[in-house]
Amino acid sequence: MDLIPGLSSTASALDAERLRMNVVAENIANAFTTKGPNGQPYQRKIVAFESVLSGETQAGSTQTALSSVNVRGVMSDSTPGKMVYNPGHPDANKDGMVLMPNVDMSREMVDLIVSSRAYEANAQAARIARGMAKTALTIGSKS
Amino acid sequence: MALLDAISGFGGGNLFGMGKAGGAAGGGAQLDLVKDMQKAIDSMSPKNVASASRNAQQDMLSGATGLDSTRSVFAEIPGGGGADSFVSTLSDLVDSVDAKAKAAEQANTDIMTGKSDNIHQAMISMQEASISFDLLVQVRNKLVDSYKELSRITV
Repeated sequence: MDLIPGLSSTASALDAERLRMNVVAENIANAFTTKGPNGQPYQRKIVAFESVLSGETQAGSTQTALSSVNVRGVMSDSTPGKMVYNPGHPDANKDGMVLMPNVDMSREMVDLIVSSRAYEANAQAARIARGMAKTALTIGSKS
Repeated sequence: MALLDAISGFGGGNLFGMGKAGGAAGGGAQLDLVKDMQKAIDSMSPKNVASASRNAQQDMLSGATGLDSTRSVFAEIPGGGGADSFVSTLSDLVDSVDAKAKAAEQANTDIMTGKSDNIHQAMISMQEASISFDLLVQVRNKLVDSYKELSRITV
């Protein structure tokens, strides 16, 4: 029984946006981490979404199954980071240059806003869908 | 007057102040009221409606909850045992509302105990429970309306 229209898609999108927010937060947190577990500077992570069909389309039905969002994976951005001259740094090479993570703070801030707005939009879609169901229930009531 | 008292008592049962969905989750006794009413309406006697609502109210006051007895109550209704009858459809609706309410309750418990951090899923299942409970209430209202209409027939 699916009383609220499109709710499964919205729920999966909210899940996906939450994960994207997590990844952006991780990128920002590690923007200055010059040494990870593998000895290399932190590499920026990106999430990739894909759509999957949730449920089956009933034969002869005009209604197609709704696509929901699935997180295909969290990939690393392999572009090299900036070299910064900082001879006092423990991770500096013999020329005094330090390889910084490839995290661009302004880009991460944009991603943060995009993720937050997308979450808002999906939450709004859920709210409106609920309103529609509620309106349908008032059809029978008097006054 | 017991019927009116029972209807006015319908909005109670708020679980942890969680709003309507919480009310639905804690509202097993209210669902009992619905099915008792249905039973009484089916037998179409004012005395039965009054006693059913009184019983349901007593259940509510004594804190009896749960829909486990729903099936047996529906089975007692004459002609209500068939797989495709209206009564069994209604019984399925009550079951599905109960399942949604239980899912919402579980999601809430998981959030509160720290087992899950999926706030939106909890909110969504609460809303689903709330909407399906509203649907059940509307169905009940229609049943009560039709009973009232019939009881006004002058012979």
